[in-house]
Amino acid sequence: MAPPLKRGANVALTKEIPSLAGVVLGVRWNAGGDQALSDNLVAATMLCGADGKVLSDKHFVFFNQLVSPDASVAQMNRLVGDDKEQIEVELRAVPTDIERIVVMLYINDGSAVKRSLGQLRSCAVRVLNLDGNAELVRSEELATALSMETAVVLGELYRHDRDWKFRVVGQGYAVGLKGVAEAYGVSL
Amino acid sequence: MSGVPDPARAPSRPDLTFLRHRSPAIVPRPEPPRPEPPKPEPPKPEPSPIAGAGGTSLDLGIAAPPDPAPPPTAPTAGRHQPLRVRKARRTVNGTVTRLSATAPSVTLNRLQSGIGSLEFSLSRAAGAGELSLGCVYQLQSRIEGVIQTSGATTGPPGSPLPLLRMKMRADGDSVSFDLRQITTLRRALLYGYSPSGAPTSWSGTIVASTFGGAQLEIPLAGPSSGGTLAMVTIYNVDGELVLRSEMEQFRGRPQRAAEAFGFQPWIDG
Repeated sequence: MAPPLKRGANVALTKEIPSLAGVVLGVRWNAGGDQALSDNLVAATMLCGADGKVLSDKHFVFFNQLVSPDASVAQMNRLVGDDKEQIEVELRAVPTDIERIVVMLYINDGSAVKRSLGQLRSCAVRVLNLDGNAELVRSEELATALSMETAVVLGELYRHDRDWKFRVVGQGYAVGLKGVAEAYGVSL
Repeated sequence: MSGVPDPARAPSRPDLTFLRHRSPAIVPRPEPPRPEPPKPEPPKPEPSPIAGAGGTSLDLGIAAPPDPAPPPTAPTAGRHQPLRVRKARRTVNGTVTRLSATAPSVTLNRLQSGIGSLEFSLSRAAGAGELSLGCVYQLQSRIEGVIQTSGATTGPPGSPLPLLRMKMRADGDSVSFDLRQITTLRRALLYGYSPSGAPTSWSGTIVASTFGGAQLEIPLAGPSSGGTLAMVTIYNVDGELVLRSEMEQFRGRPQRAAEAFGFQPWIDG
């Protein structure tokens, strides 16, 4: 197994595995015993164009909008392994105007409890081969760099020439989901 | 189809007030070529929500359901216009969406329905009298419950992180939905009632805003009474919340209003 990929580093996917038809983005975290924290953690995937912004508010895949309009990206209900959330990406079905698929985690602010990502014991993102679920790459530990942030961009799949690559980002946003939404053009 | 009067040549009927504003003459279209029936037309956007204005659409001034059925096809296409179904009304960036009798409903998109919380607050002038809030709800499991100023203030009962919460504040009560759990909600009815049973004026506004800042205003309406005012219905339609201003009064306790909207009677706490 390859060593964990550090923040900022990237790896080629389809160039290394030309037969790679799809991947699974797996997000995992450990909230300790904090039910209020773990119940309010939401994984979301943003499908962005060349300008780095989402194509529309329908290109924000999360628990209340499980499939992208082109059906190439879908959040799963049944998981394989011990990820907390898994998102399937059919690489060959992704429309050509989508250049980046960004996976993030945020804490939903909807109840009386307030939490931050620094309270997570651990948090990581990994990429599996959709066919067979073999792990291709896993990020380094991302929770250590988080404190008061309530949203974090974990990593992204992106096109490079005719190939797909994956980069670990690990960028936290103190302003939370609103900060991510502004950066990626999501109209909430 | 002989024997059917032609509206274009019908005598005027000044005695019927609802016919005073006549629609333009309907010119029958030539029969479409057979054998294939014409394809259903896509729903056209409704130009004006005011009942009685224009066209032959079955426009009762009530918003169409969010998923309009395709209009009827074939043999009658020559005589009648296809049913014009209004597109679901949505919030518009930078404007306040006001729900009233002429435009009673709005549909929130899946992001507005699934991120943050949706809090319905009662905004009322000081000295306007007592008015308590309540909300009867039904989950996807068909389990029902109630939260009310006098009664259970969170629901469902026993949840450590409740889906619904009442907040009682000096400047007005509110009912808040935790949208992280919105997939468990099927529908709900927000209502107001006079806590002492004495007549109260139904003045004020229910205000709410989405996580992204879209503002909603639902003015209360109706003559003073001591009963219950069914204010807003909330339906979860395929992940989108449809909010509708109801403003229907009921005598007596909130239970009667809940039953009228199809909620099972509950046991008072």
